[in-house]
Amino acid sequence: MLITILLMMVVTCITIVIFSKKLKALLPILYYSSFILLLGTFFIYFLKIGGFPYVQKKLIFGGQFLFRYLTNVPMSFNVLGSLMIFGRMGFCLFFFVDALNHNYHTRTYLKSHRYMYAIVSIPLTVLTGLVLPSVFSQLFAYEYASQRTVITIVDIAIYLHLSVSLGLYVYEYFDIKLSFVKKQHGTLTIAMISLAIQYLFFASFEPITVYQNYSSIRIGYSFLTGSGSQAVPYWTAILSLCIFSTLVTLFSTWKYYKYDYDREKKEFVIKDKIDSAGLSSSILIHGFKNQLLSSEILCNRLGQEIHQIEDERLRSTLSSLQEKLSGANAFMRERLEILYQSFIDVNTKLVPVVSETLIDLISEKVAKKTQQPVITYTCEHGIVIADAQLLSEAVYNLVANALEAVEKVQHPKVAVDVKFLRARTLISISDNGLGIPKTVRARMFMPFNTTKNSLTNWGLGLCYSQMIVKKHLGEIRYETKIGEGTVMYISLPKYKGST
Amino acid sequence: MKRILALVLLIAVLGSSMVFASGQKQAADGLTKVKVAHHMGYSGAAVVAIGTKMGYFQEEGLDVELVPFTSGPAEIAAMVSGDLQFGYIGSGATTLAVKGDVEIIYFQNLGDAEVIVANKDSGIKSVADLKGKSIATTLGTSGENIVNLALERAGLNVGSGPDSVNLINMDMGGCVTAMLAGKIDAVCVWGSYKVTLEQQLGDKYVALAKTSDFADTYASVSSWLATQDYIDANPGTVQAFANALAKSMDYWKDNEKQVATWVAELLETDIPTIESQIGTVFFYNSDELKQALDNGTVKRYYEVQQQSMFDTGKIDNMVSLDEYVQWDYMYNAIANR
Repeated sequence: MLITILLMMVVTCITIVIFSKKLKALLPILYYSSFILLLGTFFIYFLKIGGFPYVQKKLIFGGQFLFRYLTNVPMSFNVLGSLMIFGRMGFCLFFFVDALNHNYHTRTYLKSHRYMYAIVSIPLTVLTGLVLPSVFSQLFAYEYASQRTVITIVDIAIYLHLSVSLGLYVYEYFDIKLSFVKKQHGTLTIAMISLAIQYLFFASFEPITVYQNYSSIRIGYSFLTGSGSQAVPYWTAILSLCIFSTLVTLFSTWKYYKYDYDREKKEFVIKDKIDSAGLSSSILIHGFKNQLLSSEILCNRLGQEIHQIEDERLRSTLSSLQEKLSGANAFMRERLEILYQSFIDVNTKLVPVVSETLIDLISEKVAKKTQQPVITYTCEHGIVIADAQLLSEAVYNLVANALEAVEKVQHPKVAVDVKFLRARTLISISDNGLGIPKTVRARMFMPFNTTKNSLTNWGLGLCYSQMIVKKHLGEIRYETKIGEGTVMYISLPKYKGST
Repeated sequence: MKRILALVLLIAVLGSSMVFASGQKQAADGLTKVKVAHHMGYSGAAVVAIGTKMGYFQEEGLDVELVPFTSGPAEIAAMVSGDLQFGYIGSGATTLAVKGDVEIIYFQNLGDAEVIVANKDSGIKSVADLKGKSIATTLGTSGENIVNLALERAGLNVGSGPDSVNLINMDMGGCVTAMLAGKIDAVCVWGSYKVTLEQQLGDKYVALAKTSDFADTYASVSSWLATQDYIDANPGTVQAFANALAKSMDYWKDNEKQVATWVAELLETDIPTIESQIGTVFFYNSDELKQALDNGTVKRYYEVQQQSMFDTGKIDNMVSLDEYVQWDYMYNAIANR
C-alpha cells in the first residue's frame, strides 16, 4: 500500500509538470519530490532494518519481489539517513516558501524584498546541516541530552513552518473576494492540507535513528507498529486514510493546475480563431466592398433614370424597388462596418479614469440603445486605468447580453458594479436571467458564434469585448447558474493609487 | 469543496476510532499477546520457529506475534518505546543491555557466525591489507565487534586517513550486494549472508577473520531481552516466555535439521542456506544450562563479553552482571522443565 502512495505522489508531480510549465510550478515540484524522497527512504529503511510483523509487512510494503530488491540495495545508513533528512527538511522548506508566494500580503512584500527569501530559508537550512550524519556525529556523538535537544528543536521548527504555511493558505482563502479565484484557491488549500497531514505522519519518524545504531533514542516509532492483533486493522485504517488523502491531493492539484491550463488553452484557441476570423473577414470585406460599391452606384443611377419614366405606375413600382435595394445596400454596409470594426487593431490609450466617469459612459451608451429602468449602477470611488470609450463599449456588449437574458423574466434585474479589490479592479455585470447553457459556454467567446438571429447578428459581441479587455491587460470571467442568472466579471490590474 | 472536506473528516474519524480501539493486550481466547523480535538467520530465528511450530508459546499462555529485524540496536529501540515485549540480540547490541536500556532474561548461545570477507581479485589476503581501504558492516552489532577486534590485532584503527580503515555503516543485505558488485573492499557479515557470499563468490571468497579467531578475548553471546519496566509490570508473562524458551532449546538440541527446515520456512529462504549454519551455534539444553549456570560458565561468558566491550571503548565502566542479567528467570524456567 505504501508503494501506492508513492506512485500517486509521482503522478501528482507529473500532473504539475504537464499542466504548468511556468516557473511558479518549480516549488511544488521541489516539495513533492522531497516528499517522494522521504517516503522512498522510509520505505527502504524499514525494508532493510525490519520491525514490522509479517502480515503488516505484506500489507504495507506489498509483494516479495520489491522486498528482495530494495532490501539488498547497497546503500550505507549514512547515505540513507542523509537522503531522508533532505526529503524531510526539503519538503518543509519548499512548502513554506510556496505558501509565502501564494499569500497576497507576503508575496507583495517579498517581491520588493527578494533577499527575504534567503533569510526565511536560513533556520531550516541550518538545522538540515546540523542533523546530517557527518556533522551530527562530530558534534553530538554519545551526548544523548544534546541529541534530544537538537531533535526537539528540529521538530518544533518543522511544526512551526507547517502551521504557518497552512495558516497562510487558509488566511488567503478567506481574504480573497473574487469568487472564482476563491474557488481555485480553495482547491489548492485542500490539496495542501491533505499533503501536510500525510507529511507529518511520515516525518514524525526521526532520521537520526537511521544512521545512529548505538542509541535507543527514537521518536515516533510506536505509532508505526501498533500493538497486538489490532496492528493490521490499524495499518489498514492509517494507509487507507493516507491513500484517500493522496487522492484528494492528486485530484485537487490536478484541478488547480488544470484550471489555468484550460483557461490558457482556451484563450490560445480563441486568439487563433480571432486571428483567422480577422483574416477571413478582411478578405470578405475586401471582396464585398467593390461589389457593394457597384451595387450602390447602380442603385443611384437607377434612381436617376426612374424619374425619366413617364408611366406613373411603372415609375412608382421601380421607385419602391430602388428604395428597398438602397436599404439592403445600407444594411450590408452597416454589417460590413461592424465586421470591420470588430477586427481592426484599434489603438488603445490607457489613462487614469475616475470610476464614476466610466459608469456614466456605460450608462449613456446603454441609454442610447435602449430605455431599460431595470439596470442599476454602483461603484466604489477610485481610478481605473483604461481607454474609457473602448472599455465602456466592451461593458456595453455584456450589458446588452444581460438585458436580452432577462427579457422573459418576470422581475428583471441587471446590475453594473465597479469594485476595487486587493490587486484587481473588478467590473461586474450581473443578471437574474436564464443562465448560460453548457453547450453555449464552450464557444461563447469564439467569433461568429451566436444564439440569436444570425441575419442581424455576426456573433462578435463577446469576442470584441474579450479583445478590448485583453488590450487592458485584463480578463473576462463568468459565473452562471441555469434559471438563476449570470455574472460577468471584467478583472483589470489595479492602479496603485486607485483608492 | 464542502463535500470533500466532510468526507475527509468522516474518514479521519473512522480511522481514529480504529486506532484508538486498539490497545487490548489480552486475546479473546485468554492468551497474553506479546510481540517477539527475532533475527534473520539460523540462531536468531530457531527458538521462535520451534516455539511456534511446537506450540510451546501457547502452552505457556502466550499469543506470540513475530517481528523480524536485521540488527539488534533497532530492535532495542523498538522495545524501549514499547513496541515489542521480547527480543533476541547478538553480542554487539548487548552493549545497550550493559548500559541499562534492557535486561537479559535468557542465555541462548555462543556464536561463531561472524566473518570478515574479501574478494580474492582485490588482492586483499589479510586484515592488515585493509589499510587505507573500506569495510562495511552494521554498527552496534557483533559485526562491528569483530571488525574492531580484527583491526586492533592487525594494528589498524578506524578512520578516514590513508593509514586507517574506513568503516561504513550498512545493513547486511546491502553489504552482500556491495561486495558482489565490487563496491566495497571487505564486509563483516554473519549467518545466511555469509552463506550467500560463499556461494556467489565461490573460489574468490576470502575469509580474513572470524569470531572463533578471538575466542580467547571475546565471547559472542546471544541472549533474550525484555525492558525492566515490562519485567516489573509482567513478571508472570516474562517467566512464561522463559519457560517456552527452555522447552524450545531442549527440542532444538535433538532436532537441529528439522529446526533448520522450520527456520527456512519462516524466513522464506532455502533450506541448504540455513542448514549450512548448523555448527556455528553453541547452545545448551535445560540440563546443560543448569550445570553451566551453577559452575559459573555462563557468568564467565558474560564477563568476557563485557570486558571486550570495555576494552574496545563501547562502555565507559564495567558493571555487575546482576545489574542487567535476570538469572532467576533462567533458573525458574529450568526448574519448570
